[in-house]
Amino acid sequence: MSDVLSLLTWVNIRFMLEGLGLTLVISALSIACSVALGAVLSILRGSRLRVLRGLSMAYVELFKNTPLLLWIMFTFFVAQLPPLPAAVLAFTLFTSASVAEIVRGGLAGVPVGQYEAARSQGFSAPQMYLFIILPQALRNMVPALLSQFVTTIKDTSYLWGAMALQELMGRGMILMNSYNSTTQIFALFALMALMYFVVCFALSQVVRAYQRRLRGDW
Amino acid sequence: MGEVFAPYKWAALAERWPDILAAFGTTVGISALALVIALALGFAFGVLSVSRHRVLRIVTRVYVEVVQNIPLLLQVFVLYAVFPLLGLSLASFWIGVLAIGVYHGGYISEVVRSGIGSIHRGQFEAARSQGFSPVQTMTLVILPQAMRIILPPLAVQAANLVKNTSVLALIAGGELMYFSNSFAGDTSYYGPAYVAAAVLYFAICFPLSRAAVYLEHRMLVHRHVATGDASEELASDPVEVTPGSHDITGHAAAEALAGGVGTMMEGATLLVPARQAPSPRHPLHAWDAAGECDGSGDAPFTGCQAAEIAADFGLEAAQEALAASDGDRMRAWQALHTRAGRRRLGHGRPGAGAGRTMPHGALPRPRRRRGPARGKRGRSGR
Repeated sequence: MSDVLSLLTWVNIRFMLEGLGLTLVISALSIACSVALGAVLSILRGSRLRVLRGLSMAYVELFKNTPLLLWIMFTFFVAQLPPLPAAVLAFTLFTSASVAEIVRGGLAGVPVGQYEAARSQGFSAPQMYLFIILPQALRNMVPALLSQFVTTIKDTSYLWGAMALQELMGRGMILMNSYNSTTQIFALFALMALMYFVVCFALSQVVRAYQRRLRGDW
Repeated sequence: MGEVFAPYKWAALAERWPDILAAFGTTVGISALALVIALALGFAFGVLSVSRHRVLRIVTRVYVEVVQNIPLLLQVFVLYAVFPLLGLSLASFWIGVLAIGVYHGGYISEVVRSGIGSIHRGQFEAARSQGFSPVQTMTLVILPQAMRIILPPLAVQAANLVKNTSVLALIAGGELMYFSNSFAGDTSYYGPAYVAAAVLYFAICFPLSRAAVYLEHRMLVHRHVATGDASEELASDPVEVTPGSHDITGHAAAEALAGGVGTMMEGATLLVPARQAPSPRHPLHAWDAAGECDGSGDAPFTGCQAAEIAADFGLEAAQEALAASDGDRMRAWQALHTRAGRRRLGHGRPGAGAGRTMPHGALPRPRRRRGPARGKRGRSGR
């Protein structure tokens, strides 16, 4: 017991929390970029030009059907980017495929009349999406986007193994090197698991609460 | 960029083709075995999560939340560290199978739960009123119907599972991603190694996700045919998560995201708005006026009322049987529940036999069941 307590010093906890901070920063950046890219992709998906539609579909299929780890390796080793941009780029590429589908679902939820009304009032296509359609669609997309956020947070745990980026998993593994009793190692695993769990579980509860509210409105 | 994909690098990769094939085989093997575990766990926990027993519901909830909110890689690492401690030396292949199976079992359990939740509660009540046991209700009535809804997200899950086998590269799992990494590390020919892996992963996952899209489409069409007007509502439902966008799809996903610990019965009415308001030509409309079973007069007809009607018939039958057997409760019980008892009562008192005065279909079913065919016939007759 005492060796577990010796582990729980403020220095160690802070060390881990910094890792958690990096995890959240990478996830948030990736989600933000993914939403932008995903919105473009899903609007292209509805384009009148066959080529654009095809490109968007090919992109989504490519990234939906290949592992994330592969793209992390790809951006880091093949594109030779520094770790942080490589991580954000890999996550953005991968997540935007999923987000494109979410946005498409959100857009489908906006009544056709809204499109027609926007066009009749003289909005151009970009204006229509930016001011009329996307704000409404966003409301319906929030739960799915937050779930995607949870997925991304969990997936950032690859980054330590792939490119030695010191996010939560990495910080835990670094600490593990300086403690060698079995109890301490499992205590560290438990601590990491707990930190991931608290963040992800809280987010998924937000998703549920939001869903409930959305449903209550109707 | 041209240098990254230089032809001689491709040639070096091509020379290793037996290893690529072996690694690909390992990926397929891990995926298949993990899928078996995930399906077993998923269906078991999915069914238990709609159980009436609070403890079982809590257990499934804890399993799902723990598994879904902790990174897979961390789970793999923990298993990797736990087994030597128990004195077991498990190859990373089996650690992978176990960890990925358990991880996706949690997701499949949610898929199954929301599939069951999307079945109209009338189906449960009807099945119970026809004397199906809980297990029979689930396996013979509910799950066959829920499969239509479960299958599309299940295919998505299978594709995700294949993709997730790549984490085993980080514990030297010997599968495709590990081969690419080690080949890339040995030779520094990164480009071809990762492109080849991408192509091979795509080759497995693409058919699976196409299957998901196809099944989803078929489900929507089917539902349209079944209810007359469901697909339109479904298509315009804003909370619907489109196929592949997340680990679960469709209405089911929306419910799964929203549902929490809520039981199946609570979820069922919220879940399928299309069925809550069937088209005017829907036969269930005939029952609208009587829809006060759950307190709301305008609720559509549910199996709840069927159960009430059945209960009324049953009470009547019981009273008649009691009268016929001169207040002897034991004999009345036998008359109601056993064929022999009914025959004895009918035989002993000609003209007053319980079996003759009561309509056959209204009698509670005898203990020895003939199987579901009879229940189905009774239901469609109504």
